[in-house]
Amino acid sequence: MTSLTVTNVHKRLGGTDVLRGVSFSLRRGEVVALLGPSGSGKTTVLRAVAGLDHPDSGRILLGDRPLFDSGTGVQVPAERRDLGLVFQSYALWPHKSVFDNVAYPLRLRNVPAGDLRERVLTTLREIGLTGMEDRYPHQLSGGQQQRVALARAIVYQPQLLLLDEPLSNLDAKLREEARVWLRELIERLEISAVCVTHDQVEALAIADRVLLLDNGRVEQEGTPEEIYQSPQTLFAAEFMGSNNRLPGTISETQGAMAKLSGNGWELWGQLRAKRRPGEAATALIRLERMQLRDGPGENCLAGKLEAAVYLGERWDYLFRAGDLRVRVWCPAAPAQKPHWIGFPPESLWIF
Amino acid sequence: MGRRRSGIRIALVLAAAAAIVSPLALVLYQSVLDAPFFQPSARPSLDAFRFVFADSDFHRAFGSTVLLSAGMTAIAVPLGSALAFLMVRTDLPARRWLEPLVLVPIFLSPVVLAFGYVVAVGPVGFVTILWKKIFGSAPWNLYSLASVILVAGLTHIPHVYLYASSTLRSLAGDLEEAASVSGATSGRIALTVSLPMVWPAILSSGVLIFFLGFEMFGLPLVLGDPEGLLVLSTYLYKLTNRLGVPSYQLMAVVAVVIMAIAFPLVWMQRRLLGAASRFVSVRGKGLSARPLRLGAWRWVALAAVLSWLVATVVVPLAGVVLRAFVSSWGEGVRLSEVLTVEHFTDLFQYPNLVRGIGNTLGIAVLGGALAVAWYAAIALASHRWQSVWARVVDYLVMVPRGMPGLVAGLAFFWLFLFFKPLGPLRGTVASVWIAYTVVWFAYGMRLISSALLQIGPELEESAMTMGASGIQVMREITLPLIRTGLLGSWLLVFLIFVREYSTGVYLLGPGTEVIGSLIVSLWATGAVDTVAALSVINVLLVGMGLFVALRLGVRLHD
Repeated sequence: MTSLTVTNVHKRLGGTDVLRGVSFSLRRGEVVALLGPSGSGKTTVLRAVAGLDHPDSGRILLGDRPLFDSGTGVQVPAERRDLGLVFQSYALWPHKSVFDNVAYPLRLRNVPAGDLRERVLTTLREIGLTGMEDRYPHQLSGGQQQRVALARAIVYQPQLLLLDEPLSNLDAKLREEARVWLRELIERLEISAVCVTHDQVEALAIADRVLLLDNGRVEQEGTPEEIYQSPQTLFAAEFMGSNNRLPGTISETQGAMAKLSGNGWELWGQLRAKRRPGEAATALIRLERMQLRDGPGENCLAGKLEAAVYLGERWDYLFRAGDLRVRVWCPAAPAQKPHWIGFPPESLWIF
Repeated sequence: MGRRRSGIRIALVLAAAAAIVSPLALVLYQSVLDAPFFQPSARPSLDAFRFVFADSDFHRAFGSTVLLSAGMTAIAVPLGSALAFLMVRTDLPARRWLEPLVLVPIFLSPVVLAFGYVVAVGPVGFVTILWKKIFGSAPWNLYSLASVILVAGLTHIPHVYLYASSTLRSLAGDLEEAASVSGATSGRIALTVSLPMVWPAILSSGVLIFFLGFEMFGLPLVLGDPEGLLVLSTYLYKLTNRLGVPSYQLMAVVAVVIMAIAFPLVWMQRRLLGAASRFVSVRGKGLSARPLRLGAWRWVALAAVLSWLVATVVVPLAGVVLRAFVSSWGEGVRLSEVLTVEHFTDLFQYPNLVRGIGNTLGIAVLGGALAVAWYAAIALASHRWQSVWARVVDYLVMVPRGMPGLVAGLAFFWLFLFFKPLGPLRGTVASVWIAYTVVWFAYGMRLISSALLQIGPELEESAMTMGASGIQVMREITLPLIRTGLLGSWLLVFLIFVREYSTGVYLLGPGTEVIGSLIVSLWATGAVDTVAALSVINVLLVGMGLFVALRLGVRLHD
């Protein structure tokens, strides 16, 4: 059963197309991440679903209920959409206590006082904030504020939870914890959620499905594994992970494989776009797929070590091979010279 | 956005537009008639313009006004900028104490100040007499254009200070630090980094002072009159008496001339202010710059600031207070023999004076609250409203700024007199309140919108997504969050309404007396004792308001 259907949503703002036909759907209990660089339109999609921004055309359905339809002129105001939204800045009302912040949506729904108290306290307990109900937002830490914002958005059991960069205001350590905690909470409450983020790790961790947005349209859609392991475009491949990028020319093709050549090097890789011999192309490989070898071999280049950075769980090397500069991640200390860098052909994607 | 809510908003904007534009339109209309607009015989004509433009008094008044405006700008802008620099960027001693004090001249009524100068440094002022005792003769003449320019310039320093200091404060200290790290000396930083960024604010305050000069009424009325010195506003004020008959069309023409000069200046100032905020919006952390060390010069600077305060606040106010408690004053009078409180007890013999004090309090306290409610309603109506109507409010704000209080008062007087539905308001305090509220519309709107700007949009949006209607969001989120801002606005509007005098001048009549307009009309009759007593009461009210505002921590500027 679908929980949210967004169909062909367009929006122009000040002469530029912010959204150019975004479509996606969300099944009940599913978490979708809208991932993209800044300016890709992801927040606009979220605000359009919430009713805070109005698209120029398209359709947004919540279950079977139209929230927005440019065809029939339906435009349900934000306050009647019955959604939960957690803002990037949390937007906790500074003049209300934690209890009153969380109770506010219930008061709007005329929940009787006794029932209201019960529900607020239950939600606060679920979210790990028992005993904090009389505090004011400025007396809470960033992580606690984030939890209150979430409690406030789920206390009235909306059909759909919208999260705008929910973890970006937390510091790195806290963010890692919150990621796991948020995923666990969403699963436990069995709610559907749309989460906007520019952080790929956050998207991969939280979502069942990732929508990669670029320039106002969906570039690729799929499970986190699909998005990371089989990107369909150069943008999708490059946006995820840390990569080496090798510009060159196709010199030979064999089925799904192709040979890319540059100034003093040639490498075999997997052809991921329609390219003929003689055409310019770009190869991409994730840093963790790179290999350091003991001697020359297939799909291997000799490299000169230019820099080595120790990062704790791994080393990050920078090599020069001809006119290429490539990075390699490797768990061990720098090996002896000469360095041989392997590019496994199945991991070298040519676009 | 619900349709009903848009309806309420549009209605509010239209009501504001009617209140603001109708007096303006009436003045414009009257200026091109050959007789009062309510007479059936009135015909369109440019005779009034011809008459005024041919009048040699008008020429002199115009010339004096330009000189006055230019002169006071030349005094106030450099000194106000210097004051701002001293207060914000240096280790001037006692800055904390000085900060509220330097703004006091803004809240003192110009007629009271002018009267104070007459009593203090006029031909028989107490300072003049003291000076003559010591040095033989006093080398100054208070009743000259030069004196008016000097007094006007000195009392307008705070206006420049406000703009320059808020810009200086908002400039990030790291911008200057970056210049100093790149190798610039402090002098070079001031010239190449700080000044260019503050320049638009200084320029815009210069334009502001220039058009305030065109509207100035109280100072030239009191100080210029004895020598027959006229400026545009006093020329307008004297027109009625001069011709013997109320010459509506001539008054309208002068009002139109003043506004024709003021409006472009208001617009220009707004543009410049926009340019000034361009730099403000790129601020980094701010407030980090180390204050410039002045060394021994800090005491010189402090002495300069204090002597300015003595000259613009202490001397005139001391004059007012002294004059209020003596039965007569002049050369050879001994203070101990003339001390009296009779002027105050005498006030209560005159019902119109008692009413005036009561009306002033009522308009300032109750009227101030109502005015703030009205400004807040308009500001909230256009708050986060994506509509052309919000732009309309933006432009509406400019209109009262270009309309001097004297002109607005005149226009409202005509409106109440001859527009039948408003007739019942005529002769009641409500008429004065309406005029005050319209004249200070821009000021009030700025107070409210600066409070509204503090609220992040997501605080309101989050309530909306949870199901709160527009009214509920306003009642439970927006209003509680601007509550302290509204209280502060009330106090500031109180101060401004107590101080106001020119708007009430034409509306003055039995029942509509306020202290400010009473002082103006009593001054013309020479009732100095009463003027002194009323001035003291006026200053006391302002002082009380300032005291409460400072105790509550209200910022006197935004």
